[in-house]
Amino acid sequence: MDSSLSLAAPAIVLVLAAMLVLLAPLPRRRRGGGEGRLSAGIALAGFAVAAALVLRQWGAPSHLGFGDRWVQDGLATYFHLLFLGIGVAVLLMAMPYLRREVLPRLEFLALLLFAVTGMMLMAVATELITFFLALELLSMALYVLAGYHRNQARSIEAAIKYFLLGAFASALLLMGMALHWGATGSLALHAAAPVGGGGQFSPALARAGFWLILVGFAFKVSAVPFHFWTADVYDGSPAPVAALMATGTKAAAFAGLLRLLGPGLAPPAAEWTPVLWWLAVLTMSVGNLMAIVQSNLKRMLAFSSVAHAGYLLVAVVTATPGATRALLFYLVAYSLMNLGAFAVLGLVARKGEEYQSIYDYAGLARRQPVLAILMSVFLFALAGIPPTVGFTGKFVIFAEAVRAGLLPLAVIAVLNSLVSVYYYLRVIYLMTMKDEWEASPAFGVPAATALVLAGAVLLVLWLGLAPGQLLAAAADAARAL
Amino acid sequence: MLDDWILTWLIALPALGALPLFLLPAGRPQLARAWTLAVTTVGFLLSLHLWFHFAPGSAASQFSQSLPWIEALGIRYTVGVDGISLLMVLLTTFIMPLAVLGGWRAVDDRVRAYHAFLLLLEAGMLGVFVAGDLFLFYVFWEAMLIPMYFLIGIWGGRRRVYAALKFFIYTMVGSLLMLAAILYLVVYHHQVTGIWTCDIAAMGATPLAGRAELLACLAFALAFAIKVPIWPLHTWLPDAHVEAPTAGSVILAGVLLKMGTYGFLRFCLPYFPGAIATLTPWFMSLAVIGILYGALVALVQEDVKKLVAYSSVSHLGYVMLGIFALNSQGLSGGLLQMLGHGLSTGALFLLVGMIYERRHTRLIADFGGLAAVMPQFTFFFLLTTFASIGLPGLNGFVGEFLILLGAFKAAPVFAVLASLGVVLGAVYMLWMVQRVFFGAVTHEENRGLRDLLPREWLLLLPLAALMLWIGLYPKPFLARIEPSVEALLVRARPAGQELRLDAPAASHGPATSLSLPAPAAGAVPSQPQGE
Repeated sequence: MDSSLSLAAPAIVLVLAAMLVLLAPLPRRRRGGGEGRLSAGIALAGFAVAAALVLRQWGAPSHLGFGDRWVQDGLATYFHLLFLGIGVAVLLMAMPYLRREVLPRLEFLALLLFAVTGMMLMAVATELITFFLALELLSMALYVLAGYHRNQARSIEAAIKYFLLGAFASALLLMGMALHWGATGSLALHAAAPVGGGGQFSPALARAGFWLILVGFAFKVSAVPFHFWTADVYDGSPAPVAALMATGTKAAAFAGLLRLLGPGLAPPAAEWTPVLWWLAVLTMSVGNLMAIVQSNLKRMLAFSSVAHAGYLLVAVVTATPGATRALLFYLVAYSLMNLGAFAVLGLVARKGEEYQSIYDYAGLARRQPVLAILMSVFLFALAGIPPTVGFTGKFVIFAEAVRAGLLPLAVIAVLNSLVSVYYYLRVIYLMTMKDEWEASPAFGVPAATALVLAGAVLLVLWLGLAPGQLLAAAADAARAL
Repeated sequence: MLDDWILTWLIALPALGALPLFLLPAGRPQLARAWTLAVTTVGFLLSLHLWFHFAPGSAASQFSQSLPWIEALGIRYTVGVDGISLLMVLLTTFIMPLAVLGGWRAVDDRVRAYHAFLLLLEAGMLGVFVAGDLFLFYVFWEAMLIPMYFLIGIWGGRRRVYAALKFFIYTMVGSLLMLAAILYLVVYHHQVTGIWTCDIAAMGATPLAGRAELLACLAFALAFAIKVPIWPLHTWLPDAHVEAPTAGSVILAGVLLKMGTYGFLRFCLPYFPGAIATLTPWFMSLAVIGILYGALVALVQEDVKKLVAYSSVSHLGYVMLGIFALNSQGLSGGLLQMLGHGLSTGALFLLVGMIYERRHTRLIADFGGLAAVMPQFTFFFLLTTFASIGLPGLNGFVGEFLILLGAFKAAPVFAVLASLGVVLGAVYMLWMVQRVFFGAVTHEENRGLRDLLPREWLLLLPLAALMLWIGLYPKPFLARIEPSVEALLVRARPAGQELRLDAPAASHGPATSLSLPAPAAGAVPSQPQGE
């Protein structure tokens, strides 16, 4: 039990930080006045301590805890660091955002901490009940966060849509779990997980359960045709929340997917590979084609995130250790580019997120040259143009696909990135080659957001040119499966 | 030490030289121009070291350097030059200061960013020519698009945005399919040899066969054919060339187009000899169509810049014809023509830029009788025209002559048709010159035009000198390219005609699902022979 607690220490720290954030500033709040800084400090400290605790587990052999319901292996550690990094970035983006929008900060921070805790638990679960609880912890926090701009109909609408479709997906997942348990008497995601008693083994029922679970995941990673919520929810949610959903939630869902398709629950790979092959192709193609017709940048980035889920699915289909490494690498790449893009979006949108159209970006290079350069780097990275991490990531994924003999899939993916160039380039064209149509209010770049942008752009370029270390770390993590 | 690092310095100099531009005060554009001119000039002087210390008798990669980069994927930072790269590197470093000087007065808006993009572009182009690793090559190949996109799109003419997007998308179409083919090659090399590498030279040692070879060759060829451009993939060229600012046009015509032909020489010919044997008649036909089509369309242009742009389609057709003649005359001529076209068309775009700065029009009909008003300008324009149409004694002649000689040996019909293009070339250039420069001055506005400024003399003199040098004494150039050309021919020539030194490597057999070789013209690359 002792070792179990030490495994869970990072998550426990985050939960404690969340409670502290809510409680600590009470005396000051009664007097009225700034509650933001102290609670942001607590949350940041929570992330930092958690990260330090996770780092202590780096390179350690994999451990089981909590009656073998929790596995802390290289994969979990890798994902934990990614989630904590995303958490910090979203926090830094959100603080100036919330001040601008005059929204309470305490609750946001607490919810963010809970959401990240949920993601972290999703990456360690060895059986479906634990996984489901983690997913619900994440989802509950996100339902509230999506509607956090509570005076905006758009935001409320996003929350309702996300809640309804999220609940639907959860129900499918639960149904699948029930069927699977009924058929096999086991909920193990991992060879080491506890196997319950009872249940008649019925292969057909177990298959049905597996497929339902897979559909639940497809909702969470917004794979086509289960992607319809994505654009509406991102569009209505506050920009930092959209960033969290695009990066953290997606990464957590892929962490779960890796465990689901690993040894344990899934039928032989030959059964699900063709289905995921088509899922990947559809997801890439529909995501990219839909992104072309968007004139709202947030919706465009939403469909772009759908398309990127497709590229990630290519790595899932490939299903070799090399492909898992590529997937892990690309998740980091994808998170960096999107955090950067959403950070710029949150600034340019200004108060009430009124300026979301891509045409509001016209002339940005003249008004805010640095911001326009940064956005261009993020968009070129999303389009997969070297020397950015977006290119290196795609290169690795496609190379693994070709290596595994999936040449047609790689060619389809390559052609898809060609399509994506068009819509990313359109924003760059508007920023640099057009002048503003009508005067819009000026805006500044707060220090916290600037920090996120600087970190993201440096990593996007640095990892594009020197991906060696991250690739090695990803390879270590992939070995855990 | 210098020899090891010089290529890296050559790339790093403009890339790093772009950064201090942003520290310069925005209100002093002259400073940014002077800085960029200084950086590019130093780059040129540095590259002269390559020219003087290049061992002419060798086809090996020289000044090479190889450092580990992404070891997990077998990717190394490898650079080096052989005779083919050497000329292209020198052409690039030579054209760059001229392009900067040529656009001296043309750009007043966002001057620092403009020059930063020029320098980044130079770094990218040099990288493409010296890369010895496929991944590195591809990174430079694609990264180079970004500065060119902005140069056309921000500082170009009226339809600049359309032209920039068209340029970018066209190039990406080819590049991405090439990326797929590169991945396939790397994986195939790994399957055959068990070694993960992206080394350009090593990759050539494991030839593909059959349908896989043909498809991979087509994927590479598409990327390069768009860049050359080969008819009918040329439609981006007139737009990009005409809309780009002067410096952009000079670089596009002078250097960027050569990347396509360079790609054919570096990859398609040595990697896919079997497929090339199958495709040669097709490429020769397309080259000849390009020669004649480009010339005919140039004939009817009313805009001088457009005329020069279409003349590029025609001239690059010659280069392709020379390359696919697959003999030493054709290839050497093609290479020399790449160099020569870079100089003469670069000069033509500079000259057109000069007249545009004075009159803000490029329509032939707006001129007439300029020879009386601007004799110095006329002299240089005529000289360049003669170089362009291949008058003996100037650079164009040597290249075209060798190409036609090579083509005649390989396929006389194509050579005869291509010779027709030479005549047409003389017709459209001279007719334009006659309408612009001779006769009476038809427009009053043209009477007061100033003749060449000192800056413009400085631009044109080195170009003219080099055109004469290549025309009168091409031996130093040919001596440097010949060993590389011969080495290339050994690899590229169909097996039936020539001893194949590398054939046994193919006997490992293709471990792919694609079907086996369809024998084409007696050129099955997997036949071990010539012991």
